[in-house]
Amino acid sequence: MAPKAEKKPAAKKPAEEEPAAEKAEKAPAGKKPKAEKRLPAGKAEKGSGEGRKAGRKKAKKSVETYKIYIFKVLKQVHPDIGISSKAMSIMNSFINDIFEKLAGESAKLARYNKKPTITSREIQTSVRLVLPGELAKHAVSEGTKAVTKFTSA
Amino acid sequence: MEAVGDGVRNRSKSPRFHLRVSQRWTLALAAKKVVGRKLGGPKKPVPRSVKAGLQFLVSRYLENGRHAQRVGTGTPVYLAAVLGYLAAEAGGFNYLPLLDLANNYLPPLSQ
Repeated sequence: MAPKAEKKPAAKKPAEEEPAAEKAEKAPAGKKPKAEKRLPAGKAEKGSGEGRKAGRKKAKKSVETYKIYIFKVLKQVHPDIGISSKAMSIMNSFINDIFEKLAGESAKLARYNKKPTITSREIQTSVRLVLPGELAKHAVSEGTKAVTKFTSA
Repeated sequence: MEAVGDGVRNRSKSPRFHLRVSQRWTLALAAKKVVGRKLGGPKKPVPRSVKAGLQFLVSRYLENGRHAQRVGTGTPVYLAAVLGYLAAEAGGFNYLPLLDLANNYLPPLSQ
């Protein structure tokens, strides 16, 4: 009788513990991507919310802007300097304008070469066409550096 | 003699069971370590802007089907870098000269 009593708890314990450990490990893995996906949406909403709350309190729709990113870049370049709301709107319009120009030019290039894909090469050529002189050179180097870092990471 | 026989059986069996239990524990621990390593590594999502070291969002503005049917993986990274650089330049200096130059500049007729 003594050996029989010893057998059962030994057999049960590992079987019970393993699935619990697996569940614990699976749950955070499942949760993490959702949490990280929500963050940028939250940030975008916060930016737009501030703009909207000043004007209207009804019919809130999520509006995507570049304002938070422009602010981040400003803090990189001049940590102690702020920016007014009108200036921020102007910067946002500027970024949208440049984006449309580059995207349009890239689309044209892709069409001329009879290719359905816009790759970083198309963007690079568009940058050289749209931006003048030294600005294009520096922009190309920045883009190449970013892509290199992205692929290596 | 029966009592002696029972005693012998108990003594012989107990060390075997102990060894088996210890083996099971070691295997379980090893499995946990391996599983933990495998699960931890690839399943940690990292935003692409952090990967590329950028402040601007690496997003899917190009993927609305307006500009092209397909978009490469490096395309939004490159574009985000360019936009970030331009924002820095304009933020540091005046933006009016840039706009004037951009408007006046004409791309060459032949590529």
